[in-house]
Amino acid sequence: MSTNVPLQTILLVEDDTNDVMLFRRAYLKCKLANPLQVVGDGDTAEDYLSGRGKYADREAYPLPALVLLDFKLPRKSGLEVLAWLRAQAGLKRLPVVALTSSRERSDVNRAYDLGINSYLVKPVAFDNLMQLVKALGLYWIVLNENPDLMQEGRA
Amino acid sequence: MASILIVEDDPLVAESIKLQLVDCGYQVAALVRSGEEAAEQAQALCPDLVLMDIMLAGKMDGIETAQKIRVSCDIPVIYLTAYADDEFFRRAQVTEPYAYLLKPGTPREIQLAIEIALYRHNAERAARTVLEKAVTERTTELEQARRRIASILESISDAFVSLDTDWRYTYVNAKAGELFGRKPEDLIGKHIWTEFPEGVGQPFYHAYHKAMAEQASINLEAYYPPWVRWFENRIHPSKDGLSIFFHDITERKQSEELIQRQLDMLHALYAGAHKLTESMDYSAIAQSVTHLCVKALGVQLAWLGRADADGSVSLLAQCPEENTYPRRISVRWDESSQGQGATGRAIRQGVPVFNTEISADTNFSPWRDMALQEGFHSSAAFPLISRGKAFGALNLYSPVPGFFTPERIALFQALAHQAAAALVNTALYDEIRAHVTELEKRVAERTADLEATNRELESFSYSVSHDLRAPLRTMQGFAQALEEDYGAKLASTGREHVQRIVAAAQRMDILIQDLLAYSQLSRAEVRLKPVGLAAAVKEALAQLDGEVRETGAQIVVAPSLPEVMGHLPTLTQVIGNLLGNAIKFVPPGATPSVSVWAEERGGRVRLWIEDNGIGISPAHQARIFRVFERLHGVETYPGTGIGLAIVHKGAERMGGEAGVESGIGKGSRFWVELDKSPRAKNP
Repeated sequence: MSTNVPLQTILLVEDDTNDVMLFRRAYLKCKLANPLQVVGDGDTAEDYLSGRGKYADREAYPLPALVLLDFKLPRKSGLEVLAWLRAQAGLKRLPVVALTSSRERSDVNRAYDLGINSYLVKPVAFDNLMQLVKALGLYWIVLNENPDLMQEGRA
Repeated sequence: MASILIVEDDPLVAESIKLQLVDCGYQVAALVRSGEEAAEQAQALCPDLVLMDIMLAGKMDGIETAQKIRVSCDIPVIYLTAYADDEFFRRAQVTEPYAYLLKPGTPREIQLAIEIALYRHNAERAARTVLEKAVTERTTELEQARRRIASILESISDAFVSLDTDWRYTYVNAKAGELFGRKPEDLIGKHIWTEFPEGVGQPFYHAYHKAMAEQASINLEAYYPPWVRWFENRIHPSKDGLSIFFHDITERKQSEELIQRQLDMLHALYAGAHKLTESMDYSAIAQSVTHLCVKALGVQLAWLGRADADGSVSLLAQCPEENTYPRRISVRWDESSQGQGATGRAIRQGVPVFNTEISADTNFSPWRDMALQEGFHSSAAFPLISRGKAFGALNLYSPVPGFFTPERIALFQALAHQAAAALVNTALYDEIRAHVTELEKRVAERTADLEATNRELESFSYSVSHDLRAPLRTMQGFAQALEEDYGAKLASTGREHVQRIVAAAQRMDILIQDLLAYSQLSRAEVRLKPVGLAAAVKEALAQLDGEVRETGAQIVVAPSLPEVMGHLPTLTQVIGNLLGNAIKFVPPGATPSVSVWAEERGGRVRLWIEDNGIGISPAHQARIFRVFERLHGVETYPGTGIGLAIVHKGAERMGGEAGVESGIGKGSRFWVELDKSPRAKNP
């Protein structure tokens, strides 16, 4: 991986500021270099992804290579955001990983029905969170071959 | 010696013939000269033969005379002729002469002619006598036969007539005359359709014509409206006409019709009764009973009354529905004057009550005028009885006095019994149905309550799963961050406090996860299918790999384990908890040693998990399967107190049981019992 190429952005959709802080801490401790963008609710996530408002500035807010999505969000749930995203022509291939506290079978199955790429449950122990973040970075940023996001892969 | 009469007007010829005859040995009875004389003498003397001169002087010639003699006496005639013209011969032929003699003939010729004539005459007379005798005999026979037939035709009970081909009576027997109201002899020769014009066009008319035309016998039973009677006719055609036997079958027909009517009534009753037992609708049954009485059993009005507790009789159903009589009258079944009618008494006494004529029934006085206006003449009431007590009555009215004959009473009573049984059944059925409906309603309500509770529980466990764990993550995460970032600045007590916070948060997380597992087990759908115990044990052991390695536990699983009816994830959870406990609850310093095997018990399979652990006092064995029941402090044996509750609930959800055999210090033998898989081979 060449250092000249800007690193791909990861977007975290999470409303709990405590969780955001712990995630950032684990992210730093794991020495992940990719820029991390955070939005606190579903509506903002859609704004970011579709480049509305201040998010039109893709220099400051680049389209992410991976979305980490909590499900329990104020107003618009994570599952709704996922459904919306899969319906957008320019976004539908974007890898989305659920990062939520729910183990409910109905949530898990619904998420896969809507096209989630992976489903992770937030660990309580911080050490476990560290392991999770490390694995995420390795798998989704380094190992995983990402799709083209433009329509029909012309780019 | 034959005597001969000679008729000859010429005296000479006469004498000559006489001499010749005498010579030939004949006796001459007389000798006459004229025809008149000859006829006279022939009659008087009765000669054996007449010799007749054809040409006689006088009024009658020979031929005429011969004719006369022939008619009056049976005497052969021989003509004597000198000559004769053809006209004479032609006339003579008619008189059938025995011979012609030409005058003068030789004695020999005369004798020959006479002998032949006599012989022929004798022969003819003999033949005639035989014939006459035969004719007489046959005539007598015929007469006898005729009389016999007539006597038969007169004596038979059937009427009999015969008609010729012109439809005229040729015979009418006395019985027929009696039926016709005519003298038989007056009808003979008369034209049938002239005498009985009202019969034209009737069935018999067509049958007679058909029989005549087709020459085939016809039997016909038909009603003859002009006489308001039924007749049976047996019509036999011949070339000469028709012979018709007939008799009045009106009575037979009437009794047949009566029987048919009774049969129809029975059929109607049967069909009605069948319908009654089929129906489960109270008012429909009441309705069809009254309908049956009117439409099939011939009453004018039928109504069904129920005996109410206050002594009144209320109308349940009536037929015809438009009749206002049942609504206008007031009937009771108590001892009041309105309770003295048939209905009231039938209900009180439990027996049918009827009258033959309403106007003569003193008990009927409260309703008489109204009833007579309706045209009722007789009425009857039949009690509807259940368990020996009348609960109502079937009330019937007829315009016919004496309509309620013993047969009809019996019939209607049978119907009333059927109706009562059907009504009682239906009432019971309605009661049961109402009860069932009530129960169903309650079940539905409870189910809805339970479903609501279940939904609440689900949302509760959802929020437990999410919201309760979020602060734990924060506590744990920041406590660890505190320790990492500021641990150096903390005293050892401070660091221990932080570690306790982390440990408590972790324990609470496990607790929440166990509770979630338990509540999911309670409400998740568990679909049973054949599951291998070996697979479940293997899976459970894989999940416990860490603990097994950590403790160095010896786990011996029987080489073959049978299949059971279960749910693999649940079964794995159950076995995992039991194995986990077996490894965990050992005395300090001891190495866990666990055996797993199964045994078949009837249609069930019991999986045993035996350990060398600390054992459980029998006093506590019942408690340990309940949620949050712990026998040891968290410090000694960590745990949430939910594991065995999961075992118990899981076994229960799979239609099985779980239990334990143990004693303090003796190790424990936990078991789970489930239905054997139907696929399992018999041992």
